[in-house]
Amino acid sequence: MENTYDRLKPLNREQIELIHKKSLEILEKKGFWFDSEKARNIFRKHGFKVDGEIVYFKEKDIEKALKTAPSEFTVRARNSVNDIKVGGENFAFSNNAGAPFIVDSDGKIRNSSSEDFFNFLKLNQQLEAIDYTREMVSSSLDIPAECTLLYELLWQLKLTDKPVNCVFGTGAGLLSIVFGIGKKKMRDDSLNGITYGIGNYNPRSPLSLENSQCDRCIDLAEWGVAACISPMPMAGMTGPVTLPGLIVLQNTEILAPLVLSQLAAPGAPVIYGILATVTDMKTTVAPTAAPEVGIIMRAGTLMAKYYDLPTRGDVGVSDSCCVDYQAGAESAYHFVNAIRCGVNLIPGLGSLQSRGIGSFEKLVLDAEIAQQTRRMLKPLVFNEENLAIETIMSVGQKGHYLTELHTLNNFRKELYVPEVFTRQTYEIWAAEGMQDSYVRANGKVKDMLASYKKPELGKSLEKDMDVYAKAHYPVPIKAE
Amino acid sequence: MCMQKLIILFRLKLSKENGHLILGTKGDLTLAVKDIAEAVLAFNEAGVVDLVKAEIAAATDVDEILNAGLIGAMDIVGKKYSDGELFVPEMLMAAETMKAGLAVLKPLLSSVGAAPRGTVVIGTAKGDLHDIGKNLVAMMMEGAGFSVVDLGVDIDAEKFVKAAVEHKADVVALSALLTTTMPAMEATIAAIKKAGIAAKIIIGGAPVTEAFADQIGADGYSGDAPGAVELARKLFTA
Repeated sequence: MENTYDRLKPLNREQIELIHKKSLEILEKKGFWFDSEKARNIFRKHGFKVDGEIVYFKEKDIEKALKTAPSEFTVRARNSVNDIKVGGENFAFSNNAGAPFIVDSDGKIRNSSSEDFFNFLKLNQQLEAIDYTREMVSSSLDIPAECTLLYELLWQLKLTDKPVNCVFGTGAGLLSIVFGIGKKKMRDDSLNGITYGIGNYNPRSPLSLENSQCDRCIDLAEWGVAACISPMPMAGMTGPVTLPGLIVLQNTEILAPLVLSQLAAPGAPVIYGILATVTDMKTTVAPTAAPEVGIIMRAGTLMAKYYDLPTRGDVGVSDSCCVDYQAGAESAYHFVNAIRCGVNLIPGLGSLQSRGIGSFEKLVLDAEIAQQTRRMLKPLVFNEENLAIETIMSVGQKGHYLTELHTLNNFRKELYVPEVFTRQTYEIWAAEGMQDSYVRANGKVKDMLASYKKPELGKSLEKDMDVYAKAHYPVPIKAE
Repeated sequence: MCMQKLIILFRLKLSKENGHLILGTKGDLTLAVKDIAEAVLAFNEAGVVDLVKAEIAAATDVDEILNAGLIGAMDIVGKKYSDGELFVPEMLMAAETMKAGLAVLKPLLSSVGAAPRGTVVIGTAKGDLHDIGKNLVAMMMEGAGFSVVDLGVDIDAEKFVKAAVEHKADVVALSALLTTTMPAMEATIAAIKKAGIAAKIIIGGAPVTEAFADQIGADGYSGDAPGAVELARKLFTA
């Protein structure tokens, strides 16, 4: 008999269908606010009812869009070894993005700078746990706000050779230079399961998509760049306080923009973003690591699987203000939960204070937890070698396994070796200076920044990238 | 069901605390005005409206109804919030209830010469559409007796200057949620100062800090709504 027992089962089939039905009802009766004439014109052209700025949907429109959105695709990296698959059983980790502050080892925060931004990218490039890269801290206080996004994408592409997740319309143009293909080819490839980057847009809860986000939805679809549709309703503030209602609202806020993306470019890759959270009713902040998030994550993945869509969740974003017991606990149980639930994209490493603060040390420590989680949830492989019956028989009752060839051949691939966490005896640990995990992580950060090597990038290509960036936003190209 | 329970709890608590929390009342009026405060704290909008009407009919001093009854109740709410006893939804519900009473009282306030505590012009920075925090502050300011002119979202420097002049603002309050719209607050502050407006300028929003407020020349910063009210009071009386 198959063992299917699991306490974390927020939705059964009937409830999944109920959530879908309620979302349809909301979109049909209450509609969705698209704050963009361009977007509303697309809806009008396809015969949707548009009343003022509100667009109304029929069941068949949503069913049709869900049919064209792909369930799985590959995101190409500048270095093809780093390509990632999104959807199905796959999952990929990344850092959190856009924190305005950074916390230093003395526990004090300050505004992040371009230098911090570069340093995070240098860590991303080297950390094995980071499968794709984002802009960990905001560099916007150093350079004009309108230049931030392109600037940050430019440097992600220069300092790392992993897939990038900071893409918008103008940024997609930069990708076309890096990959040496035109817009049409990028769009065509997306219909064949290949995309060259990931972007995001954020529906504004409740039930609306702002002008700039409408543009991004349309642009990314037309370029064939994968887009995370990422609403973040907060229970009791921008969404209903009860979780079933919140899950309905989140689902509705994903479906409406998804239809726009599929009207703009049928088959455009989109990702079901699970970011709904609660409200801390003392402060009105949005905690990102609350226990309720675990349930929402599971419910969201069940809805996405029902629609056969890939998923994104923000996981590892701690509500703690420092790298402490709380921060580690929140990373650990949300990583395990997310991977168990089947979330495909897991950005969130390195973040504190509900996304507000970035930490180099936490990025390194989260990478450790991510790798441990990856190991823990790796399925067992049953074959003759792994069952090791022959070795068990040969060692018998009085021998040991340390000198067995079977051990020698397998231990490195079978056993996880922590990089920052310790397994020493107290005596050795004390003799080595009683370093806690934060101190060790800080040491690793320094080592990694010192040993960073910029991934190869042709000089003429780099020049083309700079020319493109300069043409679109006339800011000085800072050196790393 | 739950709300009923909550109201009863409030009443129980209040009956113990009223004696020293509502001050400045005199004679027979004390009890009736106290009822108004109690109704605010029990989120009983209809009750507040009826009680205020009854007090007006009984020729109770309008200032007393306002200060001891309505604003007095919000002072208690502010304190209970700071003490961690009340949560934001309760604080807002009390502010809404207080406003219902204030609406009844308003026509009389100007006729008897009772001035509001001051005028606050409030809005989000240019380019920023996030207004929940701003709305919260506006409600609490009204609850504290300020006259509030809410300009809404995505307000440029020129609109702030125009409104500050037109409404003779005592305080101009700006908020930004995005790091990309924070610089717009600096431009607005510069424009207000350049226009020679004497109003005090206060700022807030998730990425905003005291240091940033100092850096861009704001007169004050608060991390939450009750703090903003305290700040406005301090600056207004300063």
